[in-house]
Amino acid sequence: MLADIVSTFWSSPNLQKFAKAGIVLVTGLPLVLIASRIVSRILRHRLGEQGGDLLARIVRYAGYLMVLVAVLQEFGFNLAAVLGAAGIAGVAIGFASQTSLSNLISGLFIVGERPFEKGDVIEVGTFTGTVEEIGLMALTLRTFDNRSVRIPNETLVKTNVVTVTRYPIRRVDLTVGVAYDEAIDHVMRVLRDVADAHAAVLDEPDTVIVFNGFGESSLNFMIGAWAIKEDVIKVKNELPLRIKEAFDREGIEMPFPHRVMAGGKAVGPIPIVISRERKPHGD
Amino acid sequence: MAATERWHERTLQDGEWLRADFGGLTLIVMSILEEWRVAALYGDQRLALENAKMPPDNLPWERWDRGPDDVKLRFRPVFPDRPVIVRPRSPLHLSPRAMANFFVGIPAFIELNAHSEGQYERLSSWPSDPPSNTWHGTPISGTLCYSVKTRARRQFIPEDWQELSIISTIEIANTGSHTLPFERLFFETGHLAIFEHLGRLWANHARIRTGEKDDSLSGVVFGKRPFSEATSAVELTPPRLGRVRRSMLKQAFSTFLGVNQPDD
Repeated sequence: MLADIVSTFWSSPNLQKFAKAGIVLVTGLPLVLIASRIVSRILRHRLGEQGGDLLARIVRYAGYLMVLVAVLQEFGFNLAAVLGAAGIAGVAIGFASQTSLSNLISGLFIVGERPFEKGDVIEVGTFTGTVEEIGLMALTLRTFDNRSVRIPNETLVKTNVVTVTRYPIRRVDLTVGVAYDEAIDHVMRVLRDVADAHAAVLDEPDTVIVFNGFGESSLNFMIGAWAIKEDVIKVKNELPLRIKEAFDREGIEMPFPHRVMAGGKAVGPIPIVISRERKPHGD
Repeated sequence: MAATERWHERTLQDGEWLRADFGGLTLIVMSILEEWRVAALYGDQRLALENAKMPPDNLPWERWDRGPDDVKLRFRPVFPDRPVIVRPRSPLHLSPRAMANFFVGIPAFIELNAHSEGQYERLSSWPSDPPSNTWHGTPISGTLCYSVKTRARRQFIPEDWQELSIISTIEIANTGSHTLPFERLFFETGHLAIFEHLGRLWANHARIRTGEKDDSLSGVVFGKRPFSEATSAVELTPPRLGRVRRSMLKQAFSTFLGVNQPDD
């Protein structure tokens, strides 16, 4: 029985081809997966989680393609002819896939450069959000109002990208105006006390208080308070409230713009001319 | 010598509650419905407890599950859970080849441990005096720390200290030939124990030796007991990260310092 199967196998070229293709598949696919995992593991340290995964994916797709070509060759598939045809078609495909290739290459640049990581908050054009995924073609951003934005990698390479959460601490800058009657030293001291008293404002680096000059209707100050990135929103929200409370307590006036309207020929009263009432025609 | 009563084990039956004051912090602990309920109150928040037979519901409660027979709990002082940057209120300069002993105070955190299924479990810890945050490093990288300003007294005057300041003594020797400014001390407290002596909290004595260059490695030595008059103190809390021969006390005078434990 077994001898019959063996002799049938050796006498049938088709069966041999199927067997060879099977061996290529059975050994090739696990090898591709292992290679992809090794690449991911090695590159994760250098390129981050997303970068490692992206390049591992490229290795995996390339590996699958090679296995497919090897299997097809077992069945007499003429690769040279295909490549020849591909050369002709390549020109057309090249034109068609120009944008996709550009995105792919831009993606590789982003992975290599690592301007941001998965989980970072970035600003791209009018969008601000958390990086969800760095893909082969595009980056997926989740905005704070929970929308998903797909930004092509090419756009990221061409435009300015601000990585908001890159560094562990950030400075929160606020501008405050007080009335011209107030003593500048006193105002600066009150602002510093408010910043020092806030639990989320760091003692070091020191809070920056700058007198910004004489405004239209106020003396302007800039207060730059440092906080860890997790506390930035808290400081942005709470510091102005604490400043207002302290100004009220200290009797420091926060003016609103005053306008003095001056009279003149140009703004003189509009002349009103009273004409005689016309009587309607008729009876 | 035994620890004072506030650090003793306490028993709280179901439906009972207690109030424990630790400097600026008041802890309310209630045992109810197989739960430990704890509220940490500061400043004016404590007014809510005046003339109250039971703590009000609107306190900032935190809750932990417990077994039906769990009744035991205890408080203990611990060092802050982050490194502390100690800065003298007025700058100090240390002459060449001089040696000076400083007393600095670090506000204790109060840790609550309570029985859960018959075993002590750490519930949480709260600062006796909320410290402010500071950053040790550059804006690009560094460590989040607590900030403490100290008078860096040269002698111990009991009246100077807040009730729950951990008195830490640091002996600094300038072995170099230049005057060194004592601007800040990066105090990694994970390997320091807390002791009690006459109702005050003490840490083990530390000795720092600075080198000729700012970036030289110098020796920092931890004693096993607090300084001189408090040597007979009773240990309340062992070091959080254990007693080790090498630790992370560093960055005195902006220098990076090595640490070793004496064999005594």
